[in-house]
Amino acid sequence: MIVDAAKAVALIFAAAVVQVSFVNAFELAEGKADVVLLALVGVGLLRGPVFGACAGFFAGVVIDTATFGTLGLTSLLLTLTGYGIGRLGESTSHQRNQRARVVIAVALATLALELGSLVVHALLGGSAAFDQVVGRVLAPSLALNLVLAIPGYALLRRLFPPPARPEREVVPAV
Amino acid sequence: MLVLASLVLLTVYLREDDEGALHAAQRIGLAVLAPFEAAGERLARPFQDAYAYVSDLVDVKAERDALELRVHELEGQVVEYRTARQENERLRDLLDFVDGPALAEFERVTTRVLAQPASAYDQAILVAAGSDDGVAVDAPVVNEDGLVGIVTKVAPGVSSVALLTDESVAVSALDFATDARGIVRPAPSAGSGLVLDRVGKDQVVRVGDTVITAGWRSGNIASLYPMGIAIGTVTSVGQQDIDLYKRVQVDPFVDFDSLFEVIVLVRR
Repeated sequence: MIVDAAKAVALIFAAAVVQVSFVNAFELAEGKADVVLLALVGVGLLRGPVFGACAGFFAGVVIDTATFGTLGLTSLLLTLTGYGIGRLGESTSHQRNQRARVVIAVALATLALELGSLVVHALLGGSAAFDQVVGRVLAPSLALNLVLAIPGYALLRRLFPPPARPEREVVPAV
Repeated sequence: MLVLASLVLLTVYLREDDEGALHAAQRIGLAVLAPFEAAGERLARPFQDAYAYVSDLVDVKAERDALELRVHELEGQVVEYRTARQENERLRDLLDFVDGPALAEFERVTTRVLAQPASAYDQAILVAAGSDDGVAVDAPVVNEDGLVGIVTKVAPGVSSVALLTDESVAVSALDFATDARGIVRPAPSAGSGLVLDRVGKDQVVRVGDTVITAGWRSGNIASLYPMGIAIGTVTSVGQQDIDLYKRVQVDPFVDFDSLFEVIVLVRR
């Protein structure tokens, strides 16, 4: 558990720095890939809702600090996203098709984060345009995240190997 | 629990002033993170250059032809303007003219961009110059193309710059050709476009005119921006009977999506 937490802290910290200083500089149409969200989805799916929420909170604090942004805003959104993905991971852990599970999780997380940001900014008095976010930012961001989802998750599975399932005891028939 | 913690952070951060505990903690955190961000930016630079190179190749020929034409036009105008400038300076001396803030009143601090805007809501960049370089809140920021924005938060070695496309930014501006005055703001739902707002219907604005900062001064109060910084070109002008003002769209000179170096203007 402690080793997992240390790995998650290092991963999220690195992802946040890479996102802020590297990935944000590259746009496709008006969308950007979100490596922090991808890392969070991986951690949430592989380690559950509590771990996902903690990772989301930490990621939010690092991003808000690194961008000199409003402290707590990104934490709020990523905490909820991390928890939600963790719950999704728990309820779909029996699924055999892991790729479909990851793609759906990334798609839902991207949608939730973009729309959640829209709502929170609107509540705080911002006037971010709905048509701009939904019409021009969401689709390319979603496409970029989906392209990176499978290879990203494969890497994260090596970092956070899924817990081994207990083997069923075979009782010989009398 | 963590959601509650986030809400508490958010509420306290928004309610306290810039000297509050959370702002101070954030500045310390930023000072710790800045070297990592600088290293990341250095690593990213070759890729950014390659990306910008490939993107620019798409319209390079058409742009070259347009620029050649423009150079011929401008060469003729330069001679005319030099003469007018000399005459202007002579007349100002004669009249002891009091002007708005000028670029000569500012020192230039050239700096790298550490972080690009994180999302569509967050129209701000992080630059590698801060309070220890003399940068203060409300310092104007420019690049070789024109006005970029204004400094909104300062920490040692790092500052946050709100871009012209941020809804909190408004700049007194004028049409360079006709002297029509207004306020430049981000256009609602228009990506990186701007509008020149509050231009009276009796004022003249034409498509293709250049919009620059007005740099006014009234008694002890002066505009934050020095006079004459280029902002953009007028792309459309409209007015309706029910409107109080003209509707003027402005295409900014600065490409806000690819800012790598900027100049912070620090008052002497």
